[in-house]
Amino acid sequence: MVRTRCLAGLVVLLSVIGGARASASTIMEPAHAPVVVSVATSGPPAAVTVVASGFSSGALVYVEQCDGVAPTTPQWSPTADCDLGSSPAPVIADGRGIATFAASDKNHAFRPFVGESPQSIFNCLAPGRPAPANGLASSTKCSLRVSTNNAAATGDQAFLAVAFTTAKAAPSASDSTTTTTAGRASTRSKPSATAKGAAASAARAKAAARKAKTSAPSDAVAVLSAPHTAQHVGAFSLSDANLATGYVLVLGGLLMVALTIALLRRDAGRTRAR
Amino acid sequence: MRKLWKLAAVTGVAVAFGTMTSIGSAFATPPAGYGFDNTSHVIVGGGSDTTYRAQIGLSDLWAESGLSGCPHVTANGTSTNACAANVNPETSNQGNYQGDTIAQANPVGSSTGIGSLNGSSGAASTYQGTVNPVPAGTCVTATPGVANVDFARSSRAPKTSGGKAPCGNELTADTFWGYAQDGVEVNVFTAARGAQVQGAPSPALTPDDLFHIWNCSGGTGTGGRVRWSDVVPSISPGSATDADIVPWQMNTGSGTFGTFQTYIQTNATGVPSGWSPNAQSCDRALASGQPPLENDIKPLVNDPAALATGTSADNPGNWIWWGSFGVFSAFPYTSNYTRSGTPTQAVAAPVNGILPSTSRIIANTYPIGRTLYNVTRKFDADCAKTAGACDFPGNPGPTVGATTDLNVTGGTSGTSGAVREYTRWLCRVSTAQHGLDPFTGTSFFSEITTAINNAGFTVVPSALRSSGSRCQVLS
Repeated sequence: MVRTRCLAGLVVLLSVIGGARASASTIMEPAHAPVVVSVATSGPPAAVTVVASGFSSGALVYVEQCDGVAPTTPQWSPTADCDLGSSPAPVIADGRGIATFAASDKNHAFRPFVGESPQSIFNCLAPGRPAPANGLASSTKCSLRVSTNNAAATGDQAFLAVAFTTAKAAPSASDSTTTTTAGRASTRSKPSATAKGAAASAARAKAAARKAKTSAPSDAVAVLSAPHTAQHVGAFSLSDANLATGYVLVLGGLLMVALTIALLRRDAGRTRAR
Repeated sequence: MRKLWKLAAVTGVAVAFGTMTSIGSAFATPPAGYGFDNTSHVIVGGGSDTTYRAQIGLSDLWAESGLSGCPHVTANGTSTNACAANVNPETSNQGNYQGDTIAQANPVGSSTGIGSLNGSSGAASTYQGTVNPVPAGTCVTATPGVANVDFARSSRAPKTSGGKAPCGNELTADTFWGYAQDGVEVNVFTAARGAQVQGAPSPALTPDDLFHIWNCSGGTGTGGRVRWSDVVPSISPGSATDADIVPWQMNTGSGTFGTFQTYIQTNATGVPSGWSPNAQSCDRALASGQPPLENDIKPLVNDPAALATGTSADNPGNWIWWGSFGVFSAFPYTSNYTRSGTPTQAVAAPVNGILPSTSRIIANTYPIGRTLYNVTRKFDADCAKTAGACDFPGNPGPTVGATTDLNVTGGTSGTSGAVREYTRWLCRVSTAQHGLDPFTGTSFFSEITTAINNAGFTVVPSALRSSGSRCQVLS
């Protein structure tokens, strides 16, 4: 009897843990890979609708663009690896904990950038595009980050890989495959101290950066690949270790329930036999 | 014989080394063109609450940069921690070369900090927690024997008349170094009210709406007060969520107060001269009678004997205030607080149909955007000028590798020179002008941006920067 109660308690505990894992915040939209965002010949990429779930009702939720470095990387920080200058006004999560950044909403629409980030922290580039001569780290595998704080890492942050490509080179299946775990696959290529020290004068660098920035996105499109994050993913994305662990725990709990029932039946059978 | 040769060689090397060392000691001088004097000083900033956390982060970095500066005297004695005998000529590490100590005094508000910097309240006025007196200077009152700040934190722009300087024009006494950008948000206190006001059609809330709310006039409520239904069309007059709006006051010494007051005075119609958002009968103060300090909703939420519901003035759902978008966003404990099970949250209302966001703040398209300043006395730190105007490109500073440094003029020694060098470091334009953080290997140029972002602010929009600097320099 004691054994049965212990098993039941363990089942409940594991179910709670598993349930908690499965309810992590998730970017629901863009949901299908690849989502292509056309970039005007002269101007920034068009706004993208972003929908994320798993937040507390009424919470203020932010979205911003990051350099694609995995948040599990040592020294990762949202203020060093993302640019909060890309963030529209925060959205109030609705009664179901869903935050919607509608592309048609002038206050909340998220507009990805190509080239130098708004605060000159890093560059997001289409593959094959030359990096601006601004001394900044460049990434071809940037990401979106949705969270309740742009200035600090949060337990509810969720990521979505972004890949930029030119209009002529349509995104292929392999493109989305290589960015499936973009956060971890991305490479940080910050310039060395020597390179930074040897950089040309600031004025020249800034001028070059601006020149590159204005020319880079001319015929580019942004491709937002399927939901995948470094920390939080879609409910059925078993490639995520945390979610997979949650499912394993839930399955373990169910097995224990079955085992408990079997033991109880066996005990009942023995009692009847006596 | 061989031993004698060895002895002679060793002796020769020792003599040569000793000679070189003594020459170095005798002729070592601080890096040319800077404010260093090879001794460590203490400088203290004070004033703004809004920029307090940001400046603490920046001060941290400045202190760390001293680790790659001059070698220091490490023995106990009369010159412990001074720069030790060094190579000649000495080269700046592009940071806190001589290991000055920097501190940030407890915040009392931007205007009060600027007043302390300039001794504007007289020779006897002091700012507790600081260490140096105000020296004599143009439009500055000396405070001999009484301590005041060495630089001021300000979240408002300089005042050219009626300001916190003995002559009234703060730009006669001081130079304002804008290093970050923020927005003043108008906020309500619950998510439900936030959703209502954010859903109001543009251009809500207009400057006139804001003026009327804090002026307790022009509305359909008690004694002409503005009700929610007056500014949010989706709220039916007299419905369950309609009530008189309760506007809160704010500490008048703060830059956040000054910025909001100036915005109303400048953009609303019919605003009386000298109008204050604290001065009307419906403008709520704390139970103590004092206006609350800015950028923290907890004192407001804890003020009533008990929170209420419905149309009560103690229902946070009826309150409205203003504050720093950056602080409220970066530090949720200042803007999201639950008392006795009742959650309150500062949620921004649109101004002229526009909500505050960092993307709008960096683009300088939010209506109540503001630059955040480090304020120095002109004789401590000023921009290099051509024909009376700041001109960094036309007046390059000392050579740094393949480029030149930012040219900040001012003190050549003592605390004055220390203020000059902290300011120069804050406003250098690129990694080429900066050193590396000895702990991380990252350029201080990047780490300054990170420290600014950590406090919820953005760097200064490019359109506002003074050419050749990352700052907006007003002199």
